[in-house]
Amino acid sequence: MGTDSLHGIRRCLFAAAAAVLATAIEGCDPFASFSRIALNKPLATQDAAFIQPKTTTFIQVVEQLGPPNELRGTSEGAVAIYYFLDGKQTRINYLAPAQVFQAFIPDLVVNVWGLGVDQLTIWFDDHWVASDYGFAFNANVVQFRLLPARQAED
Amino acid sequence: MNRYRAGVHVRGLRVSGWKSAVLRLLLGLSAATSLTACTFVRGGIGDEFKSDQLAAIQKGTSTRAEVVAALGAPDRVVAANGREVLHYYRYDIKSSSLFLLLVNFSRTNIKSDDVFVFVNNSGIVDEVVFGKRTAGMEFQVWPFGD
Repeated sequence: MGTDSLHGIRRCLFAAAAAVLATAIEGCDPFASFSRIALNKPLATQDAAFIQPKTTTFIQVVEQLGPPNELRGTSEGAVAIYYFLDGKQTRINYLAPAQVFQAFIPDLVVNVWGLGVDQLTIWFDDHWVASDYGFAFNANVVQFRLLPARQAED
Repeated sequence: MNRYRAGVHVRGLRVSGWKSAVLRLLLGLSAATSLTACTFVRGGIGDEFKSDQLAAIQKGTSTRAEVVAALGAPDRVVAANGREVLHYYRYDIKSSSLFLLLVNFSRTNIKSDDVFVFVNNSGIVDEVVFGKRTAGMEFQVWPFGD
C-alpha cells in the first residue's frame, strides 16, 4: 500500500473521529450553557418615581409606562399591575472536558436557575387618581452563577 | 538520523516551542467555536392589533358592540370604578440560541401588547388605552448585559 493511500486512510479516520467527537459533545451536553428569558422591559424604582399619590392620573401613568398587563377593580377603585421578569440559567457540566478523553466519565452538572418575577402595582381611587404604588422585586436571585451555593453577601 | 521534535507545520513553515503551543491553542479555540448551530424561534399568543381596527373605536361614540365587532371578544372583562373594562392582549416571543462546541448561549424575549377599552354604564366607549411593547423587539443571542 502506498504512502498516499495511507495518508488518505488516516485523513478519513481522523475526519470520522472528529465528526464522532463533535456530534458527541456539541449541542446535547456542552460544557456550559447560559440562557436568559425576559418578559417586558424591566422597571426600576426610578421609573415609577413620577407617580405622586393623589395627583397622578391613570392616563398619565399609561403615558409614561404604557398600558398595564392587568387591571382589577377594588372596593376603593382599581389596581393596575405591570409584570416583568428576568430569568437567567447557568448550566455547567464540570466533567464534560474529561469526557473527551474517556466516554464513561459521569456528568457533574450544576444547573442554577434564577427566576425573578417582578411587578409594579399601582392603586387608583374611584376617580382614577393614583393613591399608592409598590414594587415586588426578586432581582437579587437573578444572577448567572457558576455554583449553586448562594454567596455570602446574599 | 532524523530526530523527532514536537511542532506544527503550517504551509511548509515549522513552528515549535511556545509558538507551537499558542498555535495549537488557537487551532483548538477555532475548532471549538467554528462547529456551531443557530436556532431562531418565533411564537405568539393572539393576533396583532391593526391600526385601522383601533382607529375604528371612537371615544364618546363607539358602542361595546362596535368594539367587539372590530377587535373580537375581549380576553378579559373587568369592572372598575363603575365602568366595564375590555382587555385585549397579545404576546410576541422571539428566541434565539447559539450552540458552540463547548458553550451554548440562548436568549428569549417576550413582550406584550395590551388594549384597554373603558365602557360606561350606557355602553359607550369612554377611553381607549393602547400600548405596543412588541415594536422593535429583536432576536438576541448574547444573554449577558441589558
